[in-house]
Amino acid sequence: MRVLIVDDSAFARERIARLVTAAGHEAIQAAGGAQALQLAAEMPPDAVTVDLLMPDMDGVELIRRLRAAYPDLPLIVVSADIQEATRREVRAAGATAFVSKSGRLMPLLEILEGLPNVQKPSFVLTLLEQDAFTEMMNLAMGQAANALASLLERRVLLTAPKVEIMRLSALRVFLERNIPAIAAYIRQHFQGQLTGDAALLLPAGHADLLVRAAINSIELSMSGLTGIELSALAEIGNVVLNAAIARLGDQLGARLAIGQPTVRINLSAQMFVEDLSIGPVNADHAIILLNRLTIGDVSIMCYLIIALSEADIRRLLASLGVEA
Amino acid sequence: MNLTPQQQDALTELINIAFSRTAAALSEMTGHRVLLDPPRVALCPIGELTAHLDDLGVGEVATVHQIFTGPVAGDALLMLNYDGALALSDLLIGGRSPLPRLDATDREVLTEVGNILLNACLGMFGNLLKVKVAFSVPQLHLAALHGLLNSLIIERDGLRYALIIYTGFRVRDSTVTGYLVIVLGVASLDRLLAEVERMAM
Repeated sequence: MRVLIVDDSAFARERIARLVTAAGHEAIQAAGGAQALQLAAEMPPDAVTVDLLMPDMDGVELIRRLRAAYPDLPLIVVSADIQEATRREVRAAGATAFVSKSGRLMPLLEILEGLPNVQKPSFVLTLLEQDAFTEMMNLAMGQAANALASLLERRVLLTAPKVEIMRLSALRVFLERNIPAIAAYIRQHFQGQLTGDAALLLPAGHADLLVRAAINSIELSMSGLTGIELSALAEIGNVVLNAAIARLGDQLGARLAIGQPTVRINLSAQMFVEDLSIGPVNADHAIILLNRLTIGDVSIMCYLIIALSEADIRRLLASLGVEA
Repeated sequence: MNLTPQQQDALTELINIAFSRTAAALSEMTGHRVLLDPPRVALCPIGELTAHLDDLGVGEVATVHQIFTGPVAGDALLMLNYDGALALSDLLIGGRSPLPRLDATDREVLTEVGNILLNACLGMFGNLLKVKVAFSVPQLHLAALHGLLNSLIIERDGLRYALIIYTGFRVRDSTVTGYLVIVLGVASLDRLLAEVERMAM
C-alpha cells in the first residue's frame, strides 16, 4: 500500500513514515497541502494521512479538496488536536478516520490494514522468522567472507545484522531514503528452483573504500573507477553474491544456475529498480540485507538485495521451520 | 483571583490525565519509557508571571507558542530553558553528538512536542466546555524570558491571567523540566473554572 503522509513537521512525517514502512507499506511525504495535491495526482496513493495545522493550507481544506477529487480515497487525520468538536468537523469534511498524535500511533496501522480493497503487506516477519532468516544469511555471509579472505589474502568479516522483505514497488522509496546515491552495483541473475536477481549495492564513498581496501589502490582516478577497479568490484561482488545465492539454494536443497556479474556505476535508486525489473524474471519482492564488510581495518557498508517472487519467498520462509 | 483547593485539585487531575496520553506518544517517539512528572498548577495575573518562572534563568528560553481562538481564547506556551530544550531534543532524537546550539532538526522536534503537549491540555479544556477551540500553527521562539513576557503583556488589552503548569519529562536517567503557560482573559478563565468546579462537585 502506498501512503501519502501530509504534515508540515518533518519530525512528525518521519514518525509516521517509520511506522508505515516498518509494516511493509510505501510512504511518500508532502510538507503541505499544495504539495500533497500534486503528489496525489502524480503518484496515486492508497491512503493519505493529513495533519490539521499547516501553514499553507489547513488540513480541513485539504480534506475537502482531496475528497472532491478522489471520492473513495481513505483520508486519515493524524493530529495533536484531541477535541471532539474537531473530530466532528473533519468527519463532516470527508475524513475517513482520526488518529491522535497525543498517543501511540499504532491505531493508524490498524486502520490502514483494515481498509477494504488495498494491497496488504505480504510479509511482516515475526521476530523468530527475522532471527532465522538473519541467521541463515549470516551463515552465507560467513562463507562469502572466507572466500574473500582467500581471494584478497586479508582478514575479512562480513555480517548482515538486519534483514527486511518488501515489495519491489516499495524498494525505490526505501533506497532513496537509505542510499540517496548508489556508487556502484554488482548484479547476478540466478535460476532453478529459485529464480531472481541478486545485487550488491555500494553507497557513495563506499565503492571507493572497497576498491582501496581490496587492491591497495591509493590513487583512484578523479573521473571514476578504472577498468581494473571495476573488475575488482565485479570479482568481489561475484564472491559475495555466489555465497548468498548458493545458501538460498542449499536451504531448498537445490542447485541454482548463476549468471555472469554485471557492474553499473553512479546511478539513482529508480534506475537500479528499473534494472531489476528488466527481463523475464517474475520477481515482485526484494530481500534486503544491510551488510557490514570489514577488510583489514576498513569498514564498508553495503546492501545485498535479492529480488524473488512472492511464492519463492514463501517457500524459503517455510523451509526455515519457524512457527509463524 | 485565586484557585480554590477544589479547583486546583480538579485542574491538576484533568491535566494529569491529558499528559498521561502524551507520555505514551513521547515513549513511542523515543523508544524509551517517558514519564511526565505529576503537573503542579498555579494561577497568577500575567504581570506576576516572571516571578513564577524564575528558575528558567536569565538566558534564552525556548518557547513553543500557539494562539487559540474561539469561545475560549488566549495564548498557550511551552517554555524550556535553553539547556533543557537541547537536552529534551537530544533525548527524543538520540544518537547524535551533543550540539551547543539548537539546529533545524531540534526546532522541528521541540515544535512538535510543544504542539502535542499544548493541544493535549487545551483540547481537554475544549472537550470539557463542549466548544471548539481553534489553534494557530505552533511557532518556536528563542528569546530572553523578560522580552517574551513583555510582548505577551503589551500585545493585548484587558486583565489577563496565566495558568502555569509545571512539569518534568523523565527519559532514561535524565529529567528535563519546563512550564506550560496558558494565558487567558477573565471571561475565558471564569468559564473554564466554573466548568471545572461543576465537574468536581
